[in-house]
Amino acid sequence: MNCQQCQENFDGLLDGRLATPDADAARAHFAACAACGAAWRDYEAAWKAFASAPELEPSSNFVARVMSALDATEREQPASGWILTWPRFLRLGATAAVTAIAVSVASIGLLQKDVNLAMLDQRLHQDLLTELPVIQHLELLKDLDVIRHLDQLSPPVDMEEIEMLLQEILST
Amino acid sequence: MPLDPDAELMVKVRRGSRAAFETLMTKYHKPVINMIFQSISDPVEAEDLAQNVFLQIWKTRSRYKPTAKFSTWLFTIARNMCLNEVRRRARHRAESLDQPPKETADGTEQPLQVADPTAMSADDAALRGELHKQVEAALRTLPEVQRTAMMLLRHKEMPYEDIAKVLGCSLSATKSIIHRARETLRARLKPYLRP
Ligand SMILES: [Zn+2]
Repeated sequence: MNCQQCQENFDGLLDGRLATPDADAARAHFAACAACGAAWRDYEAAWKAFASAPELEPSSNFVARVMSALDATEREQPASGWILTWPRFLRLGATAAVTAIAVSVASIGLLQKDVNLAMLDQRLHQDLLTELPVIQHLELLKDLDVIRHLDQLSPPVDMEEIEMLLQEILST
Repeated sequence: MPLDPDAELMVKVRRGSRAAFETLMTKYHKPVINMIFQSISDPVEAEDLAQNVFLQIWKTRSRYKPTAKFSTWLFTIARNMCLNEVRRRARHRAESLDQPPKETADGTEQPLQVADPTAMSADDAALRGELHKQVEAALRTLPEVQRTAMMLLRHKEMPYEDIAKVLGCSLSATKSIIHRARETLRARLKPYLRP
C-alpha cells in the first residue's frame, strides 16, 4: 500500500467499511510512514471532535407543540368541505380548474426562478437546476387556499400526476 | 422480509396513527433540528422549520412506500425544505442588496452570515469550548452538500448508501463528498487538535 492508497482508505477505516486485510495494511502503513501516521491521527481526531461536539438540545415541548399544530391543521381542513357538496360534474370541473391553477402557479414560479437565477451565484444556480425539488412548488401551491386541500377533493386529485406535470414544466 | 421498526411505525402512521407518528418524531426530531440548525443558525427558526418538516411528513404520509427507509425519506424532505429556506433567504438577501452573494476566494459557497450570538443562551455559549466553537465554524463554511453529509454521518452512523439517497448522488460521489468534508475539517481544526 502506497501513501495515496493509504490516505484514500481513511474514511473506510473511520466508518468501518474496510475489509480486515485492507484495514491491517493501512495500519501497517501508518506504523512505517510517519507522514501518513500523522495525517491519520489528525483526520481521526478532527472527526472525533466533530462527532463529540455538543448538539443543539431541542425544546422539551417540541413534540407536543407539533402535535397541537397538527391538530390545528386537521381542524382547518374541513374548509374544503364546501367543494364536496358540489355535483360530480362540477367537482370534476373544479379538479380540472385546480390543475390549471397549479400549472399556471408553477409557471409563475418558473418565471420568478429565471429572474432570481440571474441574481444568484453559480453554485446556487447549479443546485437549482440539478436538485430543484418539486416539493418547493407544492409549497408554492399551498399559498392558494383552494389548492391547499387538493388531496382531500373527491374524486381525489392525483397528487403524483400533478407532481409529474410540474416536473415536466420544470424540465422544459 | 419483515419491515424495519421505523417502516412498521410509518405503516401505522399511514393508517392515521398519531401515537406511531409521535414515536417516530420523538426518535428523529433532534437530528432533524440539528441538521437544519447547521444551515440556518437560528435555534428557534430551526425548530419552526423542523415542525413544518414533520407536518409535511404527516400530510404526505399516504405517499410513503414501506420499501423506502423512513429515515432516508424524512431527511430527504428535511433537506429539501431546508434548501428552500436557505434559497428563500438568499433571494431575499440578493434582492435587498440588489446584487448576488459573493463567492469566497476558494469558490465555495459563502458561509451563511446569520449566526446571531444573542440567539444562543449564555449557558450554551459558556459550555462550548474553543474546539467546539471551531468545529461549528468549520462546519458552517462547508458547502451545503458536504455539511449535510457530515450531519447525516454523525446521526447514528447512517450508511453511505442512505446518505447517497438523501443527497441524490451516486455512492462514489458521496464517498468523495464525505472525504472532502473531512479533509476540510482536518485542515480547519488542526491548530486546535494538538498544542
Ligand atoms: Zn505514507
